[in-house]
Amino acid sequence: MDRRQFLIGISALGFTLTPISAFLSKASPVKETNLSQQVSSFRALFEHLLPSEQEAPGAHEINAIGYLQWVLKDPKVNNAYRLFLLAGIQNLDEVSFKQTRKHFIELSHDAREKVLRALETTTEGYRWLKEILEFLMEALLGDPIYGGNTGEAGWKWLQHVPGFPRPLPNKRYFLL
Amino acid sequence: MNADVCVIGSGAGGAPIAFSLAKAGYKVIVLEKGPWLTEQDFYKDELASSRRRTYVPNLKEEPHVIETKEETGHWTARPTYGSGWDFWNGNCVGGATNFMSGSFYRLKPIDFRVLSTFGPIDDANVTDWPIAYEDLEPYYALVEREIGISGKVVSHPYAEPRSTENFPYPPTQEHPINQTIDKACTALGFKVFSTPRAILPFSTMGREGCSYSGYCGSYGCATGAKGSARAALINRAVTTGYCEVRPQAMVYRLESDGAGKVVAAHYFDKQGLSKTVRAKIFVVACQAIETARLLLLSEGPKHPHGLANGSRLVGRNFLFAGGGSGSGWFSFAKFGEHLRENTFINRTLQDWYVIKDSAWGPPQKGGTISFGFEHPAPIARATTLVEDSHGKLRWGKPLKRALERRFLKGRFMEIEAFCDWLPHDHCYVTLDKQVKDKWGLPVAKIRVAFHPRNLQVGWYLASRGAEVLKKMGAEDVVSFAVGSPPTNLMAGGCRFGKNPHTSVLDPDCRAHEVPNLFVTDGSFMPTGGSAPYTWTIYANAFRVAEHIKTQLD
Repeated sequence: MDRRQFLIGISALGFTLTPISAFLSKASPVKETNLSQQVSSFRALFEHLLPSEQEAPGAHEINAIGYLQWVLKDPKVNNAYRLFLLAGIQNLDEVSFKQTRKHFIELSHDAREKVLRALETTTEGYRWLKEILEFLMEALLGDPIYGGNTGEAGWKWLQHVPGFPRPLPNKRYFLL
Repeated sequence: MNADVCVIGSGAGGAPIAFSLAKAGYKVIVLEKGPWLTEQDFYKDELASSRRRTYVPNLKEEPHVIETKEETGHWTARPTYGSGWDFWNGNCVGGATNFMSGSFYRLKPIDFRVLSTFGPIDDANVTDWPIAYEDLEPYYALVEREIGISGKVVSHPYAEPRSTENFPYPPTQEHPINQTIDKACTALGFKVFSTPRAILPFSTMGREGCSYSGYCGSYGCATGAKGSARAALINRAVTTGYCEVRPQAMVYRLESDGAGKVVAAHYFDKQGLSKTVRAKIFVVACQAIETARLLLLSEGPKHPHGLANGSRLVGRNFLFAGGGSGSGWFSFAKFGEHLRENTFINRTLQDWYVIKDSAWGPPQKGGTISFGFEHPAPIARATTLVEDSHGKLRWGKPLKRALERRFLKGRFMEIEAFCDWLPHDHCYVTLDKQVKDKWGLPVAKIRVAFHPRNLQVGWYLASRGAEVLKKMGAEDVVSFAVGSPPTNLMAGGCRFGKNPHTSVLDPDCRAHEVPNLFVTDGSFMPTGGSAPYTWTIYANAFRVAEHIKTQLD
């Protein structure tokens, strides 16, 4: 875990995805080779933050993991943001292990809650978690053309009528 | 010579020049920094419009530096790639007008003579304009026709004098909640009126009418109903055969000769190659920050401190818009499911354009209060819920229940209050000495500070608006004012006036020191008025176009 990179990314996080890049570019990159392990951690985190219910979709139903994988590959999302997401999930697992001697994915619901609430008390943890929650809202309520909000599950649940016209495949934002 | 007129920027300040002169048969070249997007590129896509940087530059490649005052009294400068505080608006053909909400207001006769009407204000550089409302009125009327403004004239104490009886287009379809607003205002003794919109209610002028999707602000219009500079003017300018638009042309220097006249605009094209346009007259309209920056970057033999900057006033007396905000919750259970409709609220109060309140002493300049439902964009609404009122993060089932309440149980109505952003010595644009953009050019540094009067008036107006929401029966009504600027409303920095020692531009918006240079975005404004000023920028640019024609003749 590159702790320095995580902290630098956190401290520079602003209102948009862009600002962190200048800061992170000075740090050595997080290795993405362990992405599959990180995906398991992300899945556990997402399903805790946005759980599935009978009448209301959760992270699983809106394909939050698939959406994450697209964001990580999106050519217009800057590398600093990608690294920031990945550094944060590594940090979460480290915090979990330090507190419980278990990885985050091995924890019970209540133990996960405890770890996350502890993480929330730190400035960097708070900002990272807030970014993750905003990411989940994007996956829940963005246009399905970007890979989240599967079958318009988020829109249907919240009875949101999208504005028209909706984006076409060849007019997704990164193609404009 | 490549053209009669070279226009730099294609938004509200540049497009009327291009349209008017091309229509009159003059050859015009428009250099626009951004791409040429059209209705076929605009979708109701929240990622494109607000979650990603689709229509504005990457802040790492093109930052600004913002200087603010710390509690210690020291000024601290921070590049925007670190803070994320974004001062860019709509870099594309048509500029920021592509993404405006289209609520349009004329200024009023007293906005042109703030100093003589209200007297000096401590620590503020208020002044009268060198022209009167009557000079601009014919062009306000012209904008109604050429841009396509819909509305209904309603008599009220501060209604502006008009040369025409009514708007050329009737109001857009209005939301049923307007009846409740009107009733509440009447009960309170307030004179509410219909907000003019730069939105066509039906198809005309080769543009389609409004589709009532409810996504005006921040979103490009897919029908062309919104009166963007691109849809309403640039497209028509090009069809004359006399106007060429060069998108993705970043002008980095205006070259001037030994006599002080501008002879060429140098720009980088899409490939980063340096190109040049030579013309008889140059018009700068890059939005106020970038206009000041370009002039300051353009030193010449007669302009050692930057173009037109002998007075050292380029970038000074920079303006945003003062004001306040508020909101109230309207539940479907109490007000009905019809609240979900996306027709327009279109309601404004200007009862306190002059505040005559014994607690305030002599009459003071007040402002405008507008009403509207919160933007329907769902991600923006949802992200406000991930943090509770105590600053604790919300997730799991509590977050889901909060989402259900927010989306399924009702809707927020919002109020926006606008007042003069008083010009003063600590709000200005200069060049940063260290930070450069991707072309290696010094970026604009903006010192941002507000005059305390902005806050006082903002609070006053916002609380009046909140009275209406309460009278309507809204729940959770709040109102407030903040000093931070709305970065989508910017003006000043090249104030016009009769005295070359106290102003950058003459009354025709021609640089005092440069006879073939005009500035036609909001930079010319010495005071900003107490209402959003896009209509005024359009109108003034049409006015200046007439002076340019005279000069060319």
